[in-house]
Amino acid sequence: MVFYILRRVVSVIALMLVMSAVIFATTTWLPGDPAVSILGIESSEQQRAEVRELYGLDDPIPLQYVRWLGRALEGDLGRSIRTREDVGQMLASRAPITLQLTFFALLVAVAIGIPAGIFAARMRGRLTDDVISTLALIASAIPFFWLGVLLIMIVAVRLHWLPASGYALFFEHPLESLKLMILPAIAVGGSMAALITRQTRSAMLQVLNEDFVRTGRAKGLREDQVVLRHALPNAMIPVITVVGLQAGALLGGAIVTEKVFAIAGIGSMVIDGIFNRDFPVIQGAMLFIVLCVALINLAVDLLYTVVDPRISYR
Amino acid sequence: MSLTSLQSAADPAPHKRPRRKGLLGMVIASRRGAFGAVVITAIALIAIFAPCLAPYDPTRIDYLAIAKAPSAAHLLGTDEVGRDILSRLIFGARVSVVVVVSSIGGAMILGSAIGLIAGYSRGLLDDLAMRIVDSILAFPTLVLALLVIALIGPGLTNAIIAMIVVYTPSFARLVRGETLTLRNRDYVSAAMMGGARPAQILIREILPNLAGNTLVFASLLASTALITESALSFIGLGVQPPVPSWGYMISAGMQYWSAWWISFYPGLAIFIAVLGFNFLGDALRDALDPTLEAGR
Amino acid sequence: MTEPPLLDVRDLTIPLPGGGDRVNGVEGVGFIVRAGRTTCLIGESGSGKSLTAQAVLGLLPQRFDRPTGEILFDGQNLLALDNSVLRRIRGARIGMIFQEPMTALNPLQRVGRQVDEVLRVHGRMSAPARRQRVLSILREVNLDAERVIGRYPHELSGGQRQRVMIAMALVMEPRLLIADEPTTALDVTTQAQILRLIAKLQERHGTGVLFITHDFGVVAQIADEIAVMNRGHVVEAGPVETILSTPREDYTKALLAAVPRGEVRPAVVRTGPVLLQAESLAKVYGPRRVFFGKANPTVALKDVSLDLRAGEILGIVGESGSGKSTAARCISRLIDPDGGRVLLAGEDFGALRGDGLRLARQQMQMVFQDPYSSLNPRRRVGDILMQGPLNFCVPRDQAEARARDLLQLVGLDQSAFDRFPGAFSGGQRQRICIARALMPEPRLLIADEAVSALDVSVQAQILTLLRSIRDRLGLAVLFITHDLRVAAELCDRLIVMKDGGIVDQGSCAEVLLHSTVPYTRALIDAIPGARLRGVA
Repeated sequence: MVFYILRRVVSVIALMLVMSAVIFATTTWLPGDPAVSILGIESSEQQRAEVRELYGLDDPIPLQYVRWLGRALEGDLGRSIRTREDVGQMLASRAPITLQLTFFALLVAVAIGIPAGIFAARMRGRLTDDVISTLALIASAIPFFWLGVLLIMIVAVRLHWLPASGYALFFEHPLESLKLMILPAIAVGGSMAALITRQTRSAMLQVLNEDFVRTGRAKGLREDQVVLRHALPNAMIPVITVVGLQAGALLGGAIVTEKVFAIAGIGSMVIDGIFNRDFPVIQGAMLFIVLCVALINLAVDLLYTVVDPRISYR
Repeated sequence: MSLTSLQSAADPAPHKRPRRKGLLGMVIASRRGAFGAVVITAIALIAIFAPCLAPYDPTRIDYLAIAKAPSAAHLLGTDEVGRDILSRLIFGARVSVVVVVSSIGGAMILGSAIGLIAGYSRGLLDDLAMRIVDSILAFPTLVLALLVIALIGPGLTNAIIAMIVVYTPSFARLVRGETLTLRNRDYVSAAMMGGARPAQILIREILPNLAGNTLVFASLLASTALITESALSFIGLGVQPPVPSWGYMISAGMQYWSAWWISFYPGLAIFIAVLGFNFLGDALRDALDPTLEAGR
Repeated sequence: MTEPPLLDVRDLTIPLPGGGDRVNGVEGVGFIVRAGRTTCLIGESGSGKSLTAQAVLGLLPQRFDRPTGEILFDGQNLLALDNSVLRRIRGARIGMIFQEPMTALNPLQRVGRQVDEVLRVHGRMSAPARRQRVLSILREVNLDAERVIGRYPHELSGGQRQRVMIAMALVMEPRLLIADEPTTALDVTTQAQILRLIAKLQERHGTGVLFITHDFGVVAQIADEIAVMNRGHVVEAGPVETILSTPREDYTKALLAAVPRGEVRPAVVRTGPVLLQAESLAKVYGPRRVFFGKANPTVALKDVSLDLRAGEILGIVGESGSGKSTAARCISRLIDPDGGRVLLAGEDFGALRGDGLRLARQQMQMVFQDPYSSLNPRRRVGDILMQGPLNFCVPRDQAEARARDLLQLVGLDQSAFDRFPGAFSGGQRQRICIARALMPEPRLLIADEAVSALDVSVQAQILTLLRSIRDRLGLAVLFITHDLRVAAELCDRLIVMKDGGIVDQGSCAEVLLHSTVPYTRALIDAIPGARLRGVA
């Protein structure tokens, strides 16, 4: 059991190493001379040569990678080419916002999606099921960023119920933060909720057909007892998989949604970095995102071992 | 009573279900399938006949008509530089169709090839391919697409390339899984014993039996692809202006909050298209349900 | 007996939801079960016996309409009861066990807890008292109670799980036990143990048993009364001795005639050249590449040698895990053995590679177990048949002519040529598979559990077909099966396998009547229904 966890942690580390190499490689191959990006077009050749010397830009790529990795592990991710800010500090100040948004969105998605899916499966064939399923199908087609824009137009601009943009950290200003998080969380979490509803419903229906559910009924259990004690725990396994996948997708969605709501999180950092060809920023932000995703996957795997006794020693 | 009459009693031929009208028939028969098919066909037609349908040149800027509300002259209004939204929507359909078809088509072909070979040959080739596939699959679509765009730059072709990179592993995983299952079917063993070459087995025995599920998957993935492309264009890293793209049009509307039509209609278009793909995919999946297949 | 029966089913009719092959799954069915006695419902697939069993406890799937008729249990008509009342009967006064022990238990809960749940739902016992009761019932079903109680289902074998199911069904000491094919998925020796267990429990507790099965041997062994079902009707019902010795209805007579008796036929010594020789075949499934853990290698085959002459039918008999299928696959090179040689007509078959192997396959063909997955559903039967010879460079018109001939040989209509497999029944598909195997004109036919998935009447026909093909074409046949009775019907010689090795071999008479090998004797003793065979 302990070995299983160890193995999973090792593969996360291995994955991070590979992805960091990929990120480093791809960003150093960005077309354009980095010395020019740093100094500007008007720089002289000599100035550029100096910069290249200073940053070791002429060294072989693997050597640059190792140096970069070494510095990264110490927390030094370089400085933004454009603003000279320390990338590590940028991450530190922006990460909590993105994580907060992802968390709230996930909360919305799971709190709506799982109960709706279970309910629809229980009511299979009846009107309730039809309604929930159709609603979920339609909702899952709504582009989340469009939903965000519409929400701002209606709720913020027209009705003035909630602010249109800005952000606040939950741990600093809880009430303010909640007010600001509602719209983005609904935008991102909404269509995920629809997806989770459909997956949960489908998983429940499958489990309700299993033999051991019939055994439960043959023992004299009430239908709701059968559902809660036997069907639901088994259906949770595929649902955990889906929620894990969605958590990753939500991270991606959050990135785009930050643009809609003018939130200064990791997403804006990445997008601006790409526009500005600011490769230390891109590297730092991508690294962080990759790490988050790897940790989410790890958490899901570990959750499996808690829930499913069959997965212990493989 | 002889054994043969006993046989027909105990071993009856499968009951012919009355409604087997062929795949297309079953899809159209369901309301959702019909809706999906209609929507997709409509979009395809709009894309093809765009120049004939659009009232204005989609790139024609008119500073005198900025952000005008919908009227007789401009049925859906004008955008932030005075271009006709309806025309841009119509031409935007072209972009959407091109992107979705080429990226999903490309990913399907590439992914299926990888999946078939990996699943059939097993061993080192399979291991290697699947490790790469799994590493890529571990990443959310948007993040991965962004990474690729970060590398090769924005633009229509690059967006397609990014999406092929993003979606090929999904197809590879699906097809490999199916190939592994089908490979163990007795009729594949029988084909092997009948002297068939591996290529023959892949093409005649395995491929036709996974084509259905792959197509369903493709249609469901198509809707995701559409949203991904729109998201990329929305943040400005996809199709570049002045080429009209529904995603970009939504972001343009954020400059004029009160001119709701600028953001509303393009989003509506995306919504309807995605809905169409979803309905079509669901109907296809129901039609290909193994419990309805010839046999059991 | 003047006591009223424990269970009295009268005129039971269960309508099928739309789209079935008949209006009523079960029509006008009636039979009784007495306390302390066993009634067997016997029928082939599609006879409605399972539906009947489920209807007793109101466990039909949701889409079924309410059945009509009466199911009288202890005076009450179960069909007229409300679900909440019925629930109190389920598990407490009527217990039920099902066919697939592998999937009948919740994989996420410990076994002891699942048995305990019955007590919690129906009684008011305290937790310690419940635990004692669970331990005692687990002991009664011959399980190591202290160890098993904390196990998860995946940690137990099929036989153990079925015992847990029985414990769960009997823990409240119900008056009636309904058993829906509980031993069909188990090995014959395990089946024998479970049957003995049920008999013992019945004797001790006076439980009435309704036992659903398709196996007349089981019926002969345990039944006091039987009801024979066909296509939703009870064809004949009554005391077991009467029905078995003097069946009245034609269907019953024909069904009984089709049952393989395991009668040993006189040995026919085949002379002639040895066609197939396997020497010391070995196959080991190695430990998987595992980082920190270890998994023991599985020995699937060890030192298996056999030979087969033209015109001979050699049976390989064994339970699951014995290696018989692995041996067949190694011989046919569907998988490659780790050791040993296979000689086909003197040539080293095992050493062939690539195109050489591919072409040599023409001589050895195989028929598989599951008729539903042996034919590609997307190709026409004619296409499937012709593929073999075409691959072996036979001209198309010849291949077609041969295909049509073989269709006739196996008893199918010519129209089959242009149809898809989906249009055919299990027995017909198996005929197509046999025809396909014969198309390349092989010298050796391997039948890997080829009749195991068929109903007994169909099975009898296929066996007859195989015999006639051997007689006409002089084929050698390697017949893999787990059923000694079937092997005795068909084979000239037998090989008995256990745990990857051969433990016994010889002619049918030698193995079945005179063998001194303990395992063989155990297998023979485990065959249900000794009195059916006129032995004992």
